[in-house]
Amino acid sequence: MTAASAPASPTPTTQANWAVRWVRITAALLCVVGAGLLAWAFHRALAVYPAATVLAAVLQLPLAIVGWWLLRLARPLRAPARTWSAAAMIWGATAATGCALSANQGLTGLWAKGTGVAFAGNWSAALTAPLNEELLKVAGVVLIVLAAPRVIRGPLDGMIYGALAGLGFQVMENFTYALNNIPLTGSTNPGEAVVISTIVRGLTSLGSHWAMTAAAGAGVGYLAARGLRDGAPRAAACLAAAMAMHLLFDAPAPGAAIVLKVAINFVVVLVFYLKLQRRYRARARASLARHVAAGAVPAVEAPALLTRSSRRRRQRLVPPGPVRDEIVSRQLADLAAIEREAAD
Amino acid sequence: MTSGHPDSEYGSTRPLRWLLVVVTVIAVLSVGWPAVSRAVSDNQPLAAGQPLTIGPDSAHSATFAPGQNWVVRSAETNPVLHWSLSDGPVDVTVVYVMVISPSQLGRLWPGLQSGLRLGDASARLGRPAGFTSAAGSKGLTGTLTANGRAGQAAIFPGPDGTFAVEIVSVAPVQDGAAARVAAALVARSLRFPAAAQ
Repeated sequence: MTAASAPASPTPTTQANWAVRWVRITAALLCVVGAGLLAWAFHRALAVYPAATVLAAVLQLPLAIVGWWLLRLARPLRAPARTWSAAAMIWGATAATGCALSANQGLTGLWAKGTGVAFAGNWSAALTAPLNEELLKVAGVVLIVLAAPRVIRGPLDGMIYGALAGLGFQVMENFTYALNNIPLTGSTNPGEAVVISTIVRGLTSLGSHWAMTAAAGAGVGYLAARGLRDGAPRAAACLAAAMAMHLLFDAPAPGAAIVLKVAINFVVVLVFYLKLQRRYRARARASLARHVAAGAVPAVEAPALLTRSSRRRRQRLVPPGPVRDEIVSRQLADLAAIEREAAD
Repeated sequence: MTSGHPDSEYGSTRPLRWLLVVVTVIAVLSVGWPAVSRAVSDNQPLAAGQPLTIGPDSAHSATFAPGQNWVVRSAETNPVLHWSLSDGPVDVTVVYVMVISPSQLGRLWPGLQSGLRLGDASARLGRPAGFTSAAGSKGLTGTLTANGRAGQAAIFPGPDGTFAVEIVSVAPVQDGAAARVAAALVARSLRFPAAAQ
């Protein structure tokens, strides 16, 4: 990431705000609690299958790295704040996943007790995970809005941070599924069990947690931009869409149907993203035109402002030094003003 | 988030109200569900001899019969992969495992040993001995010991070698004999429908 695409960071005013500080402390504590719950549930795997456990973790690195890069690239104009991108992913991988272990165990138990083991065996995952996991994942996006109020300004920001939270959840869930697959295959070859699980989960990754939470996160973006009264209906619709995508993914069906499920989820989130992105870019162009007309942005600089590559090209026209630094600073300031107006 | 723009949140206490909402939701899900689940009785009685099925489909399944006055712990049971049963102090689990390749059938017993250590580091299996169910299915069985617990385990490979069924029965040491009887009861009743066709 170049200096021109550096994220907008919270101002000192935010950091000094005690309410915001409480939010950050609580979120960090919840991540610690989630990580503790995960460690408690899976620490024996490291003792019994140390090599396979390390392998399971290493095999998730490509998904984590490529997903991180692609999702941050998906934000128009410039990448989202690195700190808060990491916070979203860590939330998904710790707080959301750890709490989901407990929540899912409780609700699946209730389904089994209330409806019988036959029905629960088929449906409890589909009736449990969408409710618990979508709420737990999207809670991380809400906490980012509260912890860094200028970071998520609209639905597109919410979608990106939601996708990152979902990606963190997906990576950790893949890791735990890989470990669970060892006893499910009789513990005869732990390494092979881990590889098989990773491949199967990898094949479905296009329509999995990142996509679901991207939809739910967009709703949080609507709330952040429009407030409770105007944003709530869209936020509820986005959350319902995420839950529906999750229900579809987990619903019992013949094995080959997973291809269709993944495709549907991917297309839903892609169409939603393209719609938001097109509107965002149109608003950004209109905002830039207004700034140029008002003389706030020099007309000669305008064509180089709205894409990462054009900004880099403009910066490279001058050698490194104070002049280039000045150009970078001006681009960042202009982008910040445009982003405020383009958010929603 | 009630103001219409995030900038107007600065210096207000609204983030704390929303934080309370978020924490409440997380607590309801991760503490509330398990608490309600614990409050609902989990032991559902079974009819003695009523055959139970484990496995994803008829070609990859097995049936077995529980004993008299046994109950199923439904919260821990998934009829495809895992039955959790109890007979007083005796806990009986019947587990479906997928075999990655038939060449690994011979590693099922040491695999079960390591799988048991996931739940209890002190768990140890004795030397396996051959066992034949009433329907003629051949498997292995051996004693199981752990800190303060004793019992019996058994493994039966499925007829096509792509899956197996594991039976683990444990109880406090003083009830170890009852645990061994329970394991033998389930093992004797084990039947693979695909083998009968």
